[in-house]
Amino acid sequence: MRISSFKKYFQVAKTSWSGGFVYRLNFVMWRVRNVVQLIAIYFLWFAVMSRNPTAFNYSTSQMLTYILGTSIIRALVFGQRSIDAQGEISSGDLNNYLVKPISYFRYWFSRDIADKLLNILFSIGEITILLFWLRPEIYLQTNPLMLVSFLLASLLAMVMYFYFSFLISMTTFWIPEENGWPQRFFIFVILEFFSGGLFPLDILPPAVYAVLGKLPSAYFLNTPLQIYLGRLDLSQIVTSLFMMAFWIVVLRLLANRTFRKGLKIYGAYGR
Amino acid sequence: MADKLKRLRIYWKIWWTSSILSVESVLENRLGVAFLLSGKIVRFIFFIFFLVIINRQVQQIAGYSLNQMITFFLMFNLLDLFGQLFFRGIYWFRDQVVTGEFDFKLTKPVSPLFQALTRHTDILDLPLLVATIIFLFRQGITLTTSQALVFLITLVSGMVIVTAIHIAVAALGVMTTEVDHTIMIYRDLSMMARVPVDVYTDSVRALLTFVIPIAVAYTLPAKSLLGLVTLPTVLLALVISALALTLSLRLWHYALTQYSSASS
Amino acid sequence: MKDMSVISVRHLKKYYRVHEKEPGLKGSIRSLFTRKYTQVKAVDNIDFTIEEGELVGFIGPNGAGKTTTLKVLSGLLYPTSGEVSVLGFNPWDRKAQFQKQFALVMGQKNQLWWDLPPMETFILNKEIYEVPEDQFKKTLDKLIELLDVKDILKIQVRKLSLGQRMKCELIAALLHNPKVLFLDEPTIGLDVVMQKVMRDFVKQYNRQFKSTIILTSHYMGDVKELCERVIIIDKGKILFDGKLQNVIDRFARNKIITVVFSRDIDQRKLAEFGNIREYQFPRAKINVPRKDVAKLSAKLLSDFPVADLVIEEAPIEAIIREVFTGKMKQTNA
Repeated sequence: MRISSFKKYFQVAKTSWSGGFVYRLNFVMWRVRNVVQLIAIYFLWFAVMSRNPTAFNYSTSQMLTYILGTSIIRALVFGQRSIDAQGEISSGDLNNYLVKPISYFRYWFSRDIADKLLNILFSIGEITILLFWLRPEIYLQTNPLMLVSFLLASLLAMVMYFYFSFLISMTTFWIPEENGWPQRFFIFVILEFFSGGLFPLDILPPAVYAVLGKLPSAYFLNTPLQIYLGRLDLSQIVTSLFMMAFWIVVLRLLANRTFRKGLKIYGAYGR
Repeated sequence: MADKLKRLRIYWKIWWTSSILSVESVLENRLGVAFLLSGKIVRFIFFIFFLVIINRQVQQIAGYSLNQMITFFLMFNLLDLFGQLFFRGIYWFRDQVVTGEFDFKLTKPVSPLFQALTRHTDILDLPLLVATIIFLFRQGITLTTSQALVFLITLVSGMVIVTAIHIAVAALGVMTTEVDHTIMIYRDLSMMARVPVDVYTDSVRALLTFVIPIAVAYTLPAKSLLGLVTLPTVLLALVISALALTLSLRLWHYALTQYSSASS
Repeated sequence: MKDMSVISVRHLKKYYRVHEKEPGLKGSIRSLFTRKYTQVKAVDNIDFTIEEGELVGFIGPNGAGKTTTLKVLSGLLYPTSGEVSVLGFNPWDRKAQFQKQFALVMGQKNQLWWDLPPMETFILNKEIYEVPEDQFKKTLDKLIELLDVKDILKIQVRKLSLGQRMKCELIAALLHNPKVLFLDEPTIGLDVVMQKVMRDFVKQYNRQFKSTIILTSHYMGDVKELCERVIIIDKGKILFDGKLQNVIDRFARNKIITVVFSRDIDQRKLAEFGNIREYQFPRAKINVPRKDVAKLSAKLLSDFPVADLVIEEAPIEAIIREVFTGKMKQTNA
C-alpha cells in the first residue's frame, strides 16, 4: 500500500518534469529573471560594501555570500508549481483531483519537489558562472555541524513554505477573483522584505529585528543563511530548528483545516 | 490635419471607454482592491525604509545624500507607474496571442499595437502615482527655467523609452508568444534604477545606458531634477529615446509579418 | 437496512449566493461599499434513485441544475441540505474506495495534461487509481480499439481536435473500470459523425460492463438513442422522472401524419383534420391530436385520393419543449 502510494506521487513528479520541459523558452526566461534579480541586488550591495567594508557588522564577503546564497535557497524554498493550485480552485479545475483517489497536498508537493530540483540545478550553475565572472570574496563555512544545520534548516524552510504558500492558495476559496492573485501579490511583497530577500534581517534596528526575526517569514531565507554564515550560536540554531518544526506542524494543521472548510463552500465553478 | 485630429479623438474615446471598463471590473473585487493597493503602498514604504537603513551606515552612496537618493527613487516610481498605469495591457497580451483573441484585434479598424498596450488601464496605480508626485514636490526642489526645460525634456524622453520598451516586448510576444517573463525581466532590470545607476560598475552602467536604456529613462530625469545634467547629455537622451522608439516600432511591424495565428 | 440502489438522492438542495451590480462606473463604486445579494437555487429539493446498470438521461435547459447535481454526486460540492448516497458512500467524504469506482467526464473541461501527449495522462491515472499493470494494458488496448485512437496517443493534447480529445478524455476516465459514470455533455461541440461514435461507445460500455451511467446532454439525439429513463429538470426542480416513452405518451399531444396524394386536393378541407405544418403537392404534413390518430387517418384515406400515408411521433425536441413551456402543469393537474 505504501509503496504503491509512493509510486503514485513519483509518477506525478515525473509527469511534471516532462510538462516543464515542453516550454523550454519559458523556463529559460524564468531563470534569466532570477539571474537579473540577483545581479541587481548584488551590485547594490557591492556598491554599499565597497564604501564601508564593515557596515552593519558584516564583512564584505559575508554580505555578498548572503546575497548570492539567497539565490540557491530561493530555488529550494520558493521554487514552486503549487502556486497554480489557486488558479485551479478559482477555475474549478480542482474538480479533476477531487474525484480521484489522490491527495491534493501530496500531488502538489511532488510537483514542487520536481520543480525545485530543476531550479536548484540551474541555480547552482548560474552561481558558478557568476562567481567566475564577478570573483567576489566568498565566505566558506567549513564547520560540519554548521553545514548540517544549514542543510536541515533549508529543508525545514522548504516544507514550511510549502504549507504556508498552500494556505495562501486556499484563500482563493473565499476570494476567487483574479485567480487569487491580489492576496498572493500582497504576500509576495511582504515576504520579499520579511524573509530577508533584499538583505539579512539582522542589519535592521534591534527593535525591528526583535519582531521580524520572530515571525515565521524570517525562517524562509534569513535563518538558513545566517546559520551558514555562522552568525547564530548553537543554542540559537537549536531553537530556530525547533521553531521551524513547530511552525510546520501549525501551518500543516491550518492548511488542512482550511482546505476542508474551503471545500464546503467550493463552487466548482464553470458548469 | 482635421482627419488626424478626428482619429485622435476616436482613439481618445476608445481609450477612455476601455479604461472605465477596466476600472469597473477591478472594483468588482473589493478585497482584491484592498490587497493590491496595500501591497503597492507597502512595497513603496519598504524601499524608502531600506534607503534610510543603508544611509545610516553609508552616509554617501556614489556621492548622493539620503534626500537625493529618495528623489531618485521617487522618479523611478513616477516612470515605472507611468508604464504600469497606461500599458498594463501587456500583461494580458500573451493570453490574447495564445487564445487567438489577438486575431479579433487585427480585424478591427484600430491600431493593434494600441489595443495590445492599452487593453487595461490600471487604476490601482493612480493613488501611488499621485502620492509620488506630491512627494516630489515636497522635496522642495527649485529649478531655473532652463533647468526646468531640461527636466521636462528628459522626463518626456524617459516616457518615450518606457513606451518603446513596452512596444518591443509586445513585438517579441507576437513572435514567440513569450511575454510574461520578458516584461518581468524588464521590470527587474528597471528596479536597478531605484538607486542612481552611478553606484554600479562601468560595464553595468554602459549596459543600462546603451543596450536597455534604463539609465536614460529613469536616472536621467531624476538627475536633471537635481540640476546635474548638462546639455550634451540632454541631446544624448533625445537621440537614444528617438532611436528606441523607431527601432521598437520597426520591430513591431516586422513581428506582425511573422505572426502565425493561434491554432485552436 | 442499507439502500440497495446504486445512487440515491433525497431532498437534495444546493443554493448559491451571488451579488448584483448596476451598470456603469457609478454602480461599480456603489457596489464597492454596499452589495445586494441574491440567492440562486441551483438544485431545489430533488429526489431520485438509480439502480445498477441503468443509463439515465438528465435533460434540462442551461442552468437547470444538471451539472450541479452531477457535481454533488461526485463529491465536488457540499450539499446545502439533503442526503446523497452513491455506491453506499457519501460522495462528500471522498473516500479513495469510492473514487476508484466512479468517474466524471465533462465535455467542457479537460483532465488531460494540455502540453503532453494523452498517453502520459493515462500512465499518471494508472498510478493514481492504482490499476495493476496487466489490467491497465488490457483496458487500454480495448478502449483504444473501441475508440480508434491508436494514431494520436503520442501527439500533444493541445494539437488534437476536439473529437480526438474527447475520446482521450473518455479513455482517461475509464482506465480504472468505474462502476458508475457521470457524463456531462460528452458530445458538446462534436460533429454528427463523432457524436454517433460517442453514443455507440457509451451504449456498448453500458451493456458490456453493466455500469451505471448518468448522462446530461443538450442533444436530444443522445438521450433518445441511449436512455430508457430520463429525468427532466428545470430551475432546480424535477419535472419528470420515468421512461422516455412515458414522456412521449404524456406530453406529445400530437402525432404527425404525412400523406402523399395522387391528385391535387382542396387545402381547406384538409385543414379540418388538424394543423397543416406544410403542404406542397403531392405531400402534406398534418399535426393531429394523438387520441384521434386512428379515426382521422381512416377518414383521410376515405375522403382523399391517398397514395401513401405515414404516422410519426413528433420530434423529441418538440415534446421536451412542451414540457418546459409549462404544458406540464396542465397535464399534471
